[in-house]
Amino acid sequence: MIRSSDPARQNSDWPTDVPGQVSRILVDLFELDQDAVTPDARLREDLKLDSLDGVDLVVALEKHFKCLVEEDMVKKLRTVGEIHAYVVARLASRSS
Amino acid sequence: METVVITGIGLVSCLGHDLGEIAAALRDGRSGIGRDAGREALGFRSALTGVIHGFDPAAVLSRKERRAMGEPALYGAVAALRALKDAGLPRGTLARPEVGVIIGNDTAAEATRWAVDETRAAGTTRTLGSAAVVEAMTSSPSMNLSVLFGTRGACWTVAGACASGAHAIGQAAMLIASGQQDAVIVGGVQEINWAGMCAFDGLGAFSARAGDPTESPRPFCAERDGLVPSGGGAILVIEGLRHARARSARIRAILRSYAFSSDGDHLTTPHGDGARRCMRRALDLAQLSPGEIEYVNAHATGTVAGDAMEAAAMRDVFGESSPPISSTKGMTGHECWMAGASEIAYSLLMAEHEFIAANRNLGPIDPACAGLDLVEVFRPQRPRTILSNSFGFGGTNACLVLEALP
Repeated sequence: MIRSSDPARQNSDWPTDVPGQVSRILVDLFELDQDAVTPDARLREDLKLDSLDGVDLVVALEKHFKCLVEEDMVKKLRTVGEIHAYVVARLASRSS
Repeated sequence: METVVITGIGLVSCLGHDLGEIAAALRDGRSGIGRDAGREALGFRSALTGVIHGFDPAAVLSRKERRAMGEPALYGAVAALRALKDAGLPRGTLARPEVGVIIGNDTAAEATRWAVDETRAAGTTRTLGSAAVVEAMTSSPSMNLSVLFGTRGACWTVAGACASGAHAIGQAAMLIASGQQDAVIVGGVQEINWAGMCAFDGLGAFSARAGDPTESPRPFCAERDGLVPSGGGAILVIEGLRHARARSARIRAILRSYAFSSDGDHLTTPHGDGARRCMRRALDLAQLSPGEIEYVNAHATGTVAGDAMEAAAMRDVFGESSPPISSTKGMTGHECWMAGASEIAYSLLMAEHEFIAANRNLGPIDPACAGLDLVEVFRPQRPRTILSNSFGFGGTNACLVLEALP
């Protein structure tokens, strides 16, 4: 019973930059150690995330950033830094 | 046939979490009932409910273990961990085809409500995530427990209304008696949230008594006005006697018999004939005469019709030699799908701590329930042979007979 939520509405210390927000979503949704969620951290090997977590990550990102996140693309991402880059690019393409 | 024994019990109850704490509550007649202001705001007829305090599944289950567990599965998983500890059965020994999981459960209402509300609000199913489908299945507790412990044998949920927990125990016992399983993690779970109880409230079956919530429900009392919904998790470890002896387990009780019947009469009003046949069948299978039963844990929920029916059936079965009888629901409320399992656990705690719990809130006994030894004040005596009744909507009945060991 772990629901994706939008912690930005609940916390005053919510990051202002997109990569910081993505990392914070990872920390909150998957109950990760904040220090472990570095750009180089590998999703499967280091953070122990699996395919079901991938489904929930897509939901959380879509809800927070209000944009369509392509599941097939997210499945190919290997590190936290790659998710940062994907979301930044996705938001840039939306605004353009 | 292999003898079936109970070697472990684990509870998540409105009476507490620790077995000693729960035993003390039963002995002292403490109530686990409170009032839920949220239900009043939703227009419930009754805001009374069992209240579970201090439940923290994250303390004993990892995120991945919890992620597809709704409320019923969480209760079951935490209770199962406690039961395994009580049984001295290491988790690492469970990954065998001879070990199974059977759980009594009849709803996944809150998980279903959430998925439906989320779909309507979002206008898509994309936002439901990975766990919604598993959480919203009635069999969610058994599948989650099987994956959690790696069991390779039986894995299913028994839905038999308010007799679900007792039927689950009975079915698991048959698998052990016939040699198909060595051990089964078995019991019942009951979600306690409003979504799981609103339809029941709509039926008008709940106590709407004003004032102190702990004065409801009132099983067998002339002033009873309905049941109080409650819930949690009650899990037992049951094993074949040879399996239990081989690992030098402490044996809490022998499960002497399981009997079932149905009324085939009315969806919500019990008939009585089915209950009578079920109790008599359980005694026959246990090879005990009515006079040899030393305690009956009654189903009595506090409804006018149900308590009177059960009392009449017990008068017929036991005649002039009524054993001590109490309904623990005066303290716990009606734990519904879980009750058939939790009341076995409560009865075994009484045996372990050498007392028989009183009927809380008994007050003036309803003449329709008279002629029985309804326990008014706790008795410092150890019940050895115990009959536990469970009766559910649709007229489904289950009776279990235990022989508690010192």
